[in-house]
Amino acid sequence: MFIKRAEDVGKWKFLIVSGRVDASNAHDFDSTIQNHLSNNTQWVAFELADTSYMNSAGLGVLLATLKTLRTRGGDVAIVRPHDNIKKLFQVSSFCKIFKFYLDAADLPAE
Amino acid sequence: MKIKYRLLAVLIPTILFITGASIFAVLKISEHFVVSQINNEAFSLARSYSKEFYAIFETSKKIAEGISASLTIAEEIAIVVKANNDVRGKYVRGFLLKTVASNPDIYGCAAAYDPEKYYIKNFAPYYYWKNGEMKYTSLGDPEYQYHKWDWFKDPMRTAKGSWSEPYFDKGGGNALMVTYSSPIIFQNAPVGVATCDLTLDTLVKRVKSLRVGENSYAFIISKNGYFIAHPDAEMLSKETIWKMAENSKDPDMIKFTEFLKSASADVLEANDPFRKKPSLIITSLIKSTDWLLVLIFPKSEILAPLENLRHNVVMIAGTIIVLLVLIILWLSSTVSSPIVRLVSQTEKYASGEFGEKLEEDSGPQEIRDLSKAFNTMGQAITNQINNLRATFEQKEVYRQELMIAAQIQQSVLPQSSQPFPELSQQVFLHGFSEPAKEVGGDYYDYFQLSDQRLGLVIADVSGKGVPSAIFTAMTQKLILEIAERGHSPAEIIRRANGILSRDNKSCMFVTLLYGEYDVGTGVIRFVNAGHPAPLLISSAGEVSQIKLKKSIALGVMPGARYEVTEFTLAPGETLIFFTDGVTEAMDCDGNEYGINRFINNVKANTDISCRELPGAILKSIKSFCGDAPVSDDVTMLILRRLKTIKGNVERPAMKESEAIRMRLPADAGVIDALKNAAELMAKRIGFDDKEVYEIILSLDEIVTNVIMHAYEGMPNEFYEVDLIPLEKGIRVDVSDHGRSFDFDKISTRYRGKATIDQPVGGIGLYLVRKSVDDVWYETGTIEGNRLSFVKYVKGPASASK
Repeated sequence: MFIKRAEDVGKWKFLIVSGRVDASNAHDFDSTIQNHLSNNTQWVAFELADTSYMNSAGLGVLLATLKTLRTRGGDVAIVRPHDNIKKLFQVSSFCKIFKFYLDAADLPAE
Repeated sequence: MKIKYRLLAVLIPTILFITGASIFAVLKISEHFVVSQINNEAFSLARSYSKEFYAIFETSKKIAEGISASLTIAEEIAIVVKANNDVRGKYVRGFLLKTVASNPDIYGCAAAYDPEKYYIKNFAPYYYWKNGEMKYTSLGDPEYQYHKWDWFKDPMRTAKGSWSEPYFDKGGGNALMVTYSSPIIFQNAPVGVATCDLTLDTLVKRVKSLRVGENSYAFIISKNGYFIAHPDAEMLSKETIWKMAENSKDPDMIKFTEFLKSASADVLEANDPFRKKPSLIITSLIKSTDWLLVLIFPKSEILAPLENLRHNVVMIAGTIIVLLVLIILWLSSTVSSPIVRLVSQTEKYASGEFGEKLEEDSGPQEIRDLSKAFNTMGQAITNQINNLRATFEQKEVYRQELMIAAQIQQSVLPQSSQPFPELSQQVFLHGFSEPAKEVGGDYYDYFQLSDQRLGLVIADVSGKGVPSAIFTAMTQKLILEIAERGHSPAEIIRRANGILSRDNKSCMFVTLLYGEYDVGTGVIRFVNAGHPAPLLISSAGEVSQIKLKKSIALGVMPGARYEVTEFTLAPGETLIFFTDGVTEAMDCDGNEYGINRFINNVKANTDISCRELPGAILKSIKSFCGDAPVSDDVTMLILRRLKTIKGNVERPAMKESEAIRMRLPADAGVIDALKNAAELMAKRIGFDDKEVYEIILSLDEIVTNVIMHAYEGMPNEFYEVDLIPLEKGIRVDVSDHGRSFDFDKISTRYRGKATIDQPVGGIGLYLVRKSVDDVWYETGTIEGNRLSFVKYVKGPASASK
């Protein structure tokens, strides 16, 4: 429902997300992500261009994923965020700990 | 201390003292009596004994005097007849012989003549008794020398008769004796002496026979202190008593001799100088001799009767004391044993045994009365206990009855806290009933008549307990049944009254307010059957009681007519239906709570939620009543017409009056409608997409907070959102009646310092604060809690980005 497509871009697991994430479905959002990850996945990129709405609950899911991957020595990347998502990250100041990329091509290979 | 011992302790010393004093007095008196008696007896004894001795001595004296007188006459006759010496001698001897022969009691008699001058020289014939035979001897033997003896010399010299001191007549009578000498006077001169002898042996025998008692004795003592007669023969030859006293220096002896010398005293209480015992000593002078008869009575002997008396008296007194002690013991036990019985009865009462009764017919009157009183008390207590038990059982029955009544009444009330969810955006309904201690017959009810019409009932059945509870249940079902057939309000009540009035033998009745409410128009068609009219809270917060036409209560008059009053409730207005339990609640002084106090208290509470209002009113009623119990049910039904939007929301211009109120269930899945409404309004007001997102995000975060935290675990609750368009801005109020929270604390938990370990809680409210121009939180509003924010088009929050 949330993950429109999943691709492997180099070392990155590239997930294209769509829809609206709020308190009512944040839990489903989280389990969907987990379905695309294995126990040793380190690098995940979320394309949020079609994610028109997200609130703090969705932010919490992304933050939890970031925390898991960082402990494995990996990271989370946000690619092409929707204006509202950009706004959310700006207002909440979480833009400071997430890395943002304009395009999948910009994702670092190493 | 037990009564027995107390009585003994008091009475025994008293008895001992009294009997002791009596014994002492009796003994003293009797001793005095006995002693004086004994003294008298001793005196008379002494006198009679001294008379006896006097007789003995007087006899001897008379014999001697008789001899001397006869021989004087014989001498004169001899002169006349010129008798020769031979005749003289024969006559004198013959006379003596006859005299001695005729007096066997005397020892002997002599006639002694002057040895030189008388015709016959050394003439002294002497006749005496020896072993029952009469003997003769001549005292004129040269060995004897009678002219040298006192018994001869003294009368010759004085020419008078006298008693000699005791002496041993050696060569004469050869015995210890006393002699009376009487001179033979011839021609006025003594020519010789006639004598009569008494042996001391005779006197001693006599004295010995004088015994008064076992240890009493008598003796005779001469004027010069020689013993004339004494039971102890050894004393006779001894020296004088004066000499003995002088030699011995014995104080008892000295005292005794002094007593003898004194002429006045004839009785002495002193130690017997010879036997050294306390004695009574009595003397009596033997007449014609100057000798003293001394009688000595040992005190131990003469007071022996007194000793006996003492012994007897003490024995009698002892017996009396023992008897008295026994009597006291018996008496005290007759007093104390009933008390002991009463004590054990009291203990029985204390342990709850009331069956046994005390005997009422024995013991002294006081004890009988007390026993009777005890039995009466026991009976009274038993009766009391039985009464209490009966009362208790009755109360228990009554309590269970009340429980049943309460259960019936509760079952009548609608159970749902959120009736008619499909109408929840238009109407708020909340019923409340606080049963009094004695369950009354209040109830409220609401039911749906059609899509847009609701039936509302509040009622108060007369009476209390099970009957009124059943009447209540009956009324409730009856109204529901008739209303569902689609009758008009007046007809519903008329029919109900018809049924309730029929055969209403218990004369119960019910005051009732029925309202048919049109949700769409806010019109209520009231029928008021003797019930108080409801209060109205206007949108501005004004409170008043509305006016309704009044009809008679149900169950009173079978054919009664019921009138309808129409009333229109504006959006935002509230009606409070109530029973007279509210207004007629009384304090301890009998003052009523009253309609005005009710109105004022509602007015004071318009800021709290409709749900909390009845509780606040009840609290004020209870504080008004104070210690007085709330005697009647307090029942309220609250109807609020919500401000709602109807039909098309697309309107060119927005005014504050076009505010939207939405009522939503506490479910995160159904907030999209709210978001859509808010988005539409925000766009119409003129917010750009980013601002719209900020408004939606803020509303989303606030509502999520309400659902997740205020209503945590309460999915069936509702919250209300007011979207209020402002001039170039929007105000959003989110109201809930769930748990309140500390807004200041939670909203500042996250301060914008993002870290990977940041907990998500608190970020939501941080987002709200960052996204809107003003945000505030209130608790205790009419709905409960309210979180509000304001955002202006291109306001400070938007500009800061």
